[in-house]
Amino acid sequence: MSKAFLEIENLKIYFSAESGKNRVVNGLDLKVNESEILALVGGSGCGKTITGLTILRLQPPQATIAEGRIYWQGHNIFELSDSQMRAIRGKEISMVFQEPLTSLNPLFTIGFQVAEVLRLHTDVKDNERKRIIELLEKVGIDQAEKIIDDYPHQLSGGLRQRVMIAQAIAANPKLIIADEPTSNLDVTLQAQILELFKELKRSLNLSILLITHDLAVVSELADRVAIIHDGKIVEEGSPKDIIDNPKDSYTKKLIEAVGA
Amino acid sequence: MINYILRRILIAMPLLLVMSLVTFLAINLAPGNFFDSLRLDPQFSEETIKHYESLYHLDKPVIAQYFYWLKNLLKLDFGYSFFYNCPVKKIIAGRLLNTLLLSVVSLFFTWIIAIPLGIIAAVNRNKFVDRFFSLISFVGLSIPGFFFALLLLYFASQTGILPLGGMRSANFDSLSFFGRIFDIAKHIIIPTIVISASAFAGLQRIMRGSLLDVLRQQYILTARAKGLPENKVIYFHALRNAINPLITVFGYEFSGLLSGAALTEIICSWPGLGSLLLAAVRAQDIYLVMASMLMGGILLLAGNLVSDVLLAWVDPRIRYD
Amino acid sequence: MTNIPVKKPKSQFWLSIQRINKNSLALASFWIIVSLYLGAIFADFISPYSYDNETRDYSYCPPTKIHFISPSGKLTRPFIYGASSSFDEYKRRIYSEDKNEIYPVRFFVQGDKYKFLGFIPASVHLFGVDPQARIFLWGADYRGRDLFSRIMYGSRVSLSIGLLGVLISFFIGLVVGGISGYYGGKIDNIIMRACEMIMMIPGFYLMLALRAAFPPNLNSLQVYILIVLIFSFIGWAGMARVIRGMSISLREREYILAAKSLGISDIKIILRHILPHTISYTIVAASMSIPGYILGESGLSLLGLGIQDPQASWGNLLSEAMGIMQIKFYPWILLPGLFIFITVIAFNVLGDGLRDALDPLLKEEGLKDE
Repeated sequence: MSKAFLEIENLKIYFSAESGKNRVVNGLDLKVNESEILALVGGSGCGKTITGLTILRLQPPQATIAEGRIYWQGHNIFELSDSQMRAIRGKEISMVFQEPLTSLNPLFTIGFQVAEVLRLHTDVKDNERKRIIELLEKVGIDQAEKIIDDYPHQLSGGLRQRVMIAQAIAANPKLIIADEPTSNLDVTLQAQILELFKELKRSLNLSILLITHDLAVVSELADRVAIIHDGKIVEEGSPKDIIDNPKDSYTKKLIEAVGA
Repeated sequence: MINYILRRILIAMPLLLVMSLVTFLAINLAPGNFFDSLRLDPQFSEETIKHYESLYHLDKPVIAQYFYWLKNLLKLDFGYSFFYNCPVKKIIAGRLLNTLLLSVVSLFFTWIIAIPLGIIAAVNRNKFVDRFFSLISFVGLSIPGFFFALLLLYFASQTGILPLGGMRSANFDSLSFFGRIFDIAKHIIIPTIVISASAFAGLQRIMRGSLLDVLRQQYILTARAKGLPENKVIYFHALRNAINPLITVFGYEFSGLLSGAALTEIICSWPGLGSLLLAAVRAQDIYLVMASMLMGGILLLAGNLVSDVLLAWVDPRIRYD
Repeated sequence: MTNIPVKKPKSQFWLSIQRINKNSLALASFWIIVSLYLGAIFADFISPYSYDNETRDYSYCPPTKIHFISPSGKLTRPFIYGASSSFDEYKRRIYSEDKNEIYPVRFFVQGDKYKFLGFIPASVHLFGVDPQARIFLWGADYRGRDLFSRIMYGSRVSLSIGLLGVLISFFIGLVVGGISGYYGGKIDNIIMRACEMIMMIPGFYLMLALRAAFPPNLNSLQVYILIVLIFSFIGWAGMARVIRGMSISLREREYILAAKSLGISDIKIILRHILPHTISYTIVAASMSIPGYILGESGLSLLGLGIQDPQASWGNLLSEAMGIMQIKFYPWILLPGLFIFITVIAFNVLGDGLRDALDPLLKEEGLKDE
């Protein structure tokens, strides 16, 4: 059995509102192992995005962490200093977001934005440009040389998402948190990006925490699935198990909705 | 890029034309003209006056006069100032330069103060610093320029540190090169403070708002997720994006700046376009008024053009439009 | 089964009023403005002298000291000493108190005649002294006129121009903006270009140029009307743009369409849905633009192109201060400026407070920046 890399124990997060406290994450337990793709599936508002952000301690200021621990390779991230945390972000754990247009800074070239990760976490100096092109090609961008000096708004949605992924793998992370990485893309692009994830997991030997609401995506890609509802994990297992033998009522609803 | 600039200049032309036409018509609405005061003077015979009137086409219908003015404009002849008794060209250049100097210096200080204060306010949102700057901005926005100028002149007269208006001291010509620069600097301080006071207030609030807005964006989250240190996130990624709206505002600000500058010039006796315009208006010196308005309009459009070009240079999304 | 009583939700209007009450600064501003306007209406009564009551002997007399302790050291009703003057080596008057002459300050005295509200003849003033002496609460000007009185009378011009100008600009802007937004297309385009052009011309230059269209020496009433017209001409453009933007966005709002689909009549829609939104914005915008008009009139009068002597406006009162020599020795001449400052701040704070109080409505429109 592979070591549990990332372990979330009894996580409780709430938002303060005028009407009182809003429990967004309510006792969440989750484990991600080495070299596996774990899909975290749930409807909107169930707390999955917050969980993803909290792993990197990037949760919004309104979110208060009431209880729980998150262990990364044995360390409780809530006890790490800011600089230790920053050493993890982008280097050991990186993140891919849903909206590639708004997730890339519109005023900097994509080459520059990828380079930032390299400069921060690795020490390529003379070979920087070459390395960037390698990365872009690795995520399936053929015209890497041409677009390296382009700006985000000049690229299509699919290309942008690939650039995001290139940023994410630039420093050879061990875990990528992908928050709805394909929700904004059309079906063909979705398939391509999912293929890319599969390929990257294989060739780079990394783990992916795939946060999504789409069960169909999951069956394609994931090694394991965890269903989240009302801030808790209600069911876990392999995709086949979950889809063929759902035990939880919410899981059943999700499956019905997809019409698998 | 050149195309962009040329296009903007072309669009500016009709605007200037309309402005000048409106002004010309407005001035000529007034019954009488400059020569009325001469008529009262027994030194001038009626024939002399009529002669001058026809010389300057003042006896023709207004629209015709306007076209004469336009025609002369193309020859760079701005007409004749009755009040100063010499071609307008001679007076206007110097005044234009002085107003430009004051405007540029004021603009510079406004930005130097407003940007950092806006950033500090945004980063320390709702804390004491933020509220304090908010208060100062509010006062700056509300204090009437002329009152502030008069107050400053009062304190200057009490303490004797700064000169009481004007642009040069009496002994200007005998000063060395650096002495002259220092002298002008002394004179420019009070008008600059007055003009900057209200301009900086608005700009500070906009900077704050813009930065707060940018900090909410997704790409800031990405920057943090990449592991970038917080000050790089704020002062590099966020600030770069936050500046853009300010450059857009720059164009509008310039209009307000020119306006504010005019009244301040007059109170501080700064020899610029504002004081020129006032004298011309009082004397009903048509061509001087027209030229001043035109200069003001050109300054304004130039300011807008500079800000548009700056924006295109800084924001790649616009450049490739 | 228990009956849960349903509370009738408070209307937005009352919520707004409540919110304003909590904002002490805005409230204070409101009362300051009310006092200023009351002062303007009752100027004749409150001032001890009429605005053109002049005595050259008292030229630039400093503010009169009011004493409450009699020469024998007892607390007594307020009184002033007579003023005696002499000339110094620069031919300037120096004033000193003549302790031999004591004049009690009386209340509800008879003084200069006036017509209250323009038609009721009266001559009672709030306070004053015997006619041989002068009580200059805030000093006298070059002609020996009481600055306090002139500031009170001056407030009439300065404060009324603000209201009038805003009203006219608003109506013009409302009509033009409404038409522009409603018809859209070419008409909209032309009108908006025109507005932009007007808005782009530096305000001060435009004001001077328009003023130049008329002879420099009109009488005060003519100038007053002229100023109002000039400002309306400059001001309507900005208002029109905003109203047009709002009318366009409101037209397409979903709740309007929803209301229509429910069969609610057009009039009801306008009254219940559209009007409240426009009203809240217009009130805020009005409050924030009044200072502009006040400053504009003050600026013009300051330069001698506005209200003329002997009529008083805060602007032309300040024009005396433009001569540097005067400021140094007679600083009280600057007081009208302080009044302008206070009025402007009060309107700005009030406008800001109103905007916060009407907040939810405005945030929806996306008109408020945080």
